[in-house]
Amino acid sequence: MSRNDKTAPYVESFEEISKTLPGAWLADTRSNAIRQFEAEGFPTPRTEAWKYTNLNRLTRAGFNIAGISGVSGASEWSELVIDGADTIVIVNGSYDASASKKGAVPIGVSIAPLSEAIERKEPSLEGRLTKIAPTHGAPLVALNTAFMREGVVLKLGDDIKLEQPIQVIHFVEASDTRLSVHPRTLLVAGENSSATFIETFVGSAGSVYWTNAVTEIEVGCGASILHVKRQAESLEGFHTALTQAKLDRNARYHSVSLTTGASISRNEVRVSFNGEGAEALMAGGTLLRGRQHADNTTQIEHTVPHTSSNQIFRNVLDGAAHSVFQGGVMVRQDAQKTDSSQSNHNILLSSGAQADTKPELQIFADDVKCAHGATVGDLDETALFYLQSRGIPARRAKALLIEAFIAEISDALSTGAVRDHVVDAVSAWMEDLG
Amino acid sequence: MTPPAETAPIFEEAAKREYEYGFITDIDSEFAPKGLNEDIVRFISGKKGEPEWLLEWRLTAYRHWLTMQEPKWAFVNYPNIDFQDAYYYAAPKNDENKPQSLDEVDPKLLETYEKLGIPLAEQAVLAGVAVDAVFDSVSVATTFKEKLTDAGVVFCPISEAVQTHPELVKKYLGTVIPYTDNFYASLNSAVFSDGTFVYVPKGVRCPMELSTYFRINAANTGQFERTLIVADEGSYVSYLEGCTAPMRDENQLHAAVVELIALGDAEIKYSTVQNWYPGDEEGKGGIYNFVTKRGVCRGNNSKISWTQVETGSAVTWKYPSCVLEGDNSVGEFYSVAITNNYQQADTGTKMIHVGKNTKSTIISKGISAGKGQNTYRGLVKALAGADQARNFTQCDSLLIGNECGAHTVPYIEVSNPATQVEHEATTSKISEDQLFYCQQRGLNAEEAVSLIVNGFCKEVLKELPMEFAVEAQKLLGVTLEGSVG
Repeated sequence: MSRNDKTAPYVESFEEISKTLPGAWLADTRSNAIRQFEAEGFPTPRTEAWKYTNLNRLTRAGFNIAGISGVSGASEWSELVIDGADTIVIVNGSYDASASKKGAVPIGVSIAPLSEAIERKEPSLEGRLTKIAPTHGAPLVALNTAFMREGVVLKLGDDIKLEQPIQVIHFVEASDTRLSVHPRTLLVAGENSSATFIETFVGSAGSVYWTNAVTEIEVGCGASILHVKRQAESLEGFHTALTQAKLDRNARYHSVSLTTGASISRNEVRVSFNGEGAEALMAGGTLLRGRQHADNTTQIEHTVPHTSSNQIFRNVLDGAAHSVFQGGVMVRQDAQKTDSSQSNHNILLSSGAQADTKPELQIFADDVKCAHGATVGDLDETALFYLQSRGIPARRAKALLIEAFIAEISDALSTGAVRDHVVDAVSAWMEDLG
Repeated sequence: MTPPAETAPIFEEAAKREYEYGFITDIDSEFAPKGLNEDIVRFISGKKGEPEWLLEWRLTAYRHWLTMQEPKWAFVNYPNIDFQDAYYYAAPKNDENKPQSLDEVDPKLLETYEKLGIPLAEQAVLAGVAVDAVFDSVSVATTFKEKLTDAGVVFCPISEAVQTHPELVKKYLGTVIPYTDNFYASLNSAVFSDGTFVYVPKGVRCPMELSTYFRINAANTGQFERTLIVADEGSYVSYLEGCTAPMRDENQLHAAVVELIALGDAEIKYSTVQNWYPGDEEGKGGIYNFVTKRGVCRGNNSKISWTQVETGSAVTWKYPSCVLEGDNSVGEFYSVAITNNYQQADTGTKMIHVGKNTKSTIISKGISAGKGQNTYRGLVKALAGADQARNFTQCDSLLIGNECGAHTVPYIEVSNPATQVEHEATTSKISEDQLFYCQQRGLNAEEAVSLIVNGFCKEVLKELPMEFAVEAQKLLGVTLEGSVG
C-alpha cells in the first residue's frame, strides 16, 4: 500500500463530511490540516520520532470517521469513574449529556463540550484551539484538527481553586464498523488557579477502533494543573495522543499517566516554558502483556532561564509486549539555570518482551543541571528469594516488587481518590499476572 | 598528472601557537587525476598491483556507493562535499623504489617526524614500539619487523599484506564492515589507498605495542585508510593509532575504516589519539573525520576494547562499535571528546550483545568549549539470545562557556529479560568553587581548567597505554587553550 492509499480514505471522508463538522469559522483550518495530513502521510519508523512504533497494523485496518451518535446506554466505563469527580462522558465521539454528571460549577469556571464551544465561538478558543498544538510535522495532530468534533473546553478564571476533580471519559463501544474518533480537549488555567483534570480512555472489550486525541493546555502565571491520564482502551484498539502544554511564569504542570490498554498506543507529551520559575513533572506507568505495544514520547523545551522538568517513566512488560520510551529534553542557549532530569526503568517479566528506550538530551546552555538514567532488567532474584523465604508465595512476592517499582508513578499524586484510582488499577492489572 | 607545486614550508610563529603541529613538508606527491570514477578505482588498484578479486571488490563497492545518500542524521553541519573535486590517490614520489632502511627515507620526511616528536629510530628503541609510519597513503618505513616476524605476528601495510598474505586478507576484509555498510565505508572500500594489516597467530601475545602514525600531507587529498586487525585464538594485541595533521585552509575529507576481529579467547586493545587539524578560530578549514570502526568478538571469551581521545577535526563522525557474538565476550568503549571553537563531534559507540554472558562497558566524557557542539550517540542492543548480558553506560558532559552545546542520544534496545542494562548521564559545568580553589593555590585559570578537565577524564585516560597517556593529557590542555578568561 502506498502512502496515498493509506491517506486517501481519510481525505475522501473529509470531503464528504466536512460540512457537518462544527464551526464554519474553522473550515479553512480544517481543510489546511487535511492537506497537510495528505502531504505528510502517516508517520513511519523512517521518521526518527517514530523509530520504534510502526503504525502499519493501524493504517491497514482502515477506520471510519465516527459521526454523531445517539445515547447508547452502555456503561462499561462506569467503573473508571473517580469518586467525587465531575464527569463528562463522550461516547463514540459524541457528548452524552445524560451520562455526564456535573455538580455546581463555581463562578469563574466554565466547562463545555467542544462542539458547543465552537458553535458559540467562545472567546477562550481564540488563539488557543489548534494554535497551542501545531500541526506542522505532526500528521496525526493534523488529522485530529481536520476531524475534531467533540471534546471538552475547560476554562479556569484567575485565582480559582477547583476542589473537585474534572474527569472526561472517552468511551467507544463495540460496533460493526471500525470507528475512529478524534477528540480535542482545551484546558485554559488563569493566573494562580488550580485544578485536577483527568482524561480516561476506554472501550468495549474486544472492539477494534482508533482514538486519535489531542489535548491543548495553557497554564497561566502561578497556576497549578494536575493532569491525569488513564489509558484503558480495548486490547484490540489503537490509541494515539498528543498533549501539548504551555507554561507561563511560575506555573506548575504535573502529568501522570497510566497505560494498560490498546493494541498499539502512543502517548506523546510536549511541554514548553514561556516564563521563568515554571515547573513540569511527567510521570508515566505502563503495564503491558500479550502483544501490546506502547510508546511514551516526550519533548520538553526549556527556552527561558530558571525552569525545571522531571520525567519518571516505569514500564512492566509481560508476554511479548513491547515498550518504547523516547524522552526529549532541549535546553536552549538562554535557558540558564535549567534543572532537568529524566529516568526510564523497565522490567521484563518474560523472554518475549522488548524494551526500547532513548532518553535524549540536547543542551546549548552551560549553567544547567541535567541528568538522565535508564535501565532494563528483570525482577531482582535476591529480593524475590528474600520475600519467599519469609513465607510470601512467589506470585504475591512478584506482585509486591512490581507494585513497589511502579509506586513512583502513583507517588507523584497526593493522597485521595485519584491516587486510589491509579493504585487500584495497578493492582487489578496484577491480578491477571501469571 | 603533474603534481601542483607545493609551497615552501609555512611555519609562522602565530600559526604555530594556535596549532602546535601545523606545518607542511615539501614532498612531491604522485596524484591520481581529480575526481572519482571507475577508472580512478582501477588506477588505484593498478598502482598497488592488486589481484583481480580485490579490484572487483572495489568496483562493486564503488557501484554500490553511487546508489547511496550521504547520511544527514548526525548533529553536525558542514558545507556539501563535492566528491568529484578531490584527489583520491597520492603517494610519496619514490613509491617505486621503497627505502629499505631509515637511511634511505626521504630526509624531509624524517624531519617531519622529528617535529612531531617521533624520531623513528629513537622511539623504536626507547619505547619498544614498532612504527609503521603512514605518510599520506603509502607506508614508507617499517621497523622492528624482524622481532615481530619471530613471534609470527604480521604487521604491515595492507597493500603489502594483499601480496604476501592474500588468503588472510581475502578471508577477513569486509567481513566486519561490508562495502554496503554506510556511505563513507562504501567510499573507503572503493578507493582505500593503504592502511595497516595485523595478524596475531594462535596463542601469541604480541611482544610490543603496535603503532601507526597517520598524517595528511597533500592538499585536497582525501585520506582513506583501511585497517584490518585479526587476533587469532588466544592471542593478544594492543594497537595505537595517533594522528596529527598540518595546517590547511581547505577542508579535507578523512574516511577511514577499521575492522577488528577477535577469535576465541583473543583480546584486542585499540587506542586512538586523534588530533587532526580542527580549523581555525573562525571555524575555517579543518578535517572532516568520517570514520567507521567496528570490532567483532567472534569467539567465546574474547574481548575488544576501544579507547579514544578525540581532540581534533572540524567535524567528527565516529562510532567505534563491538559486536559481541561469542559467549562471555567483553566489549569496552572509553572515550574523551573535546570540541572547542567551531568543532563538532558526533561520536559514541554501539554494543550489540548476541552471545550469552556478554558484557560491555561504556564510559564517555564529552567536553564542549567555545562554540563547540559535542554529541554522544550510542546504542546498546541485547538480542533475544543474549542471556545474562550486562551493560553499564556512563556519559558525562562538561560545558565551558555559554555558546557551546552538549547532547546525549542513547538508544537502548533490549529483547531479553535476563539482561541488565544501565545508562546514566550528567551534564554540568566547571564549578566556580573548583576554579577558585585551584587559582587560590596559585594556578592560573587555564592551568586550573586543564587540571579539572584531566580529572574529569581520568577514568578514560587511565585506559590509554603509557606513551599515549602523557601525550593525551597535554593535548587536553592545548585543545582548551583560550576557552576561559
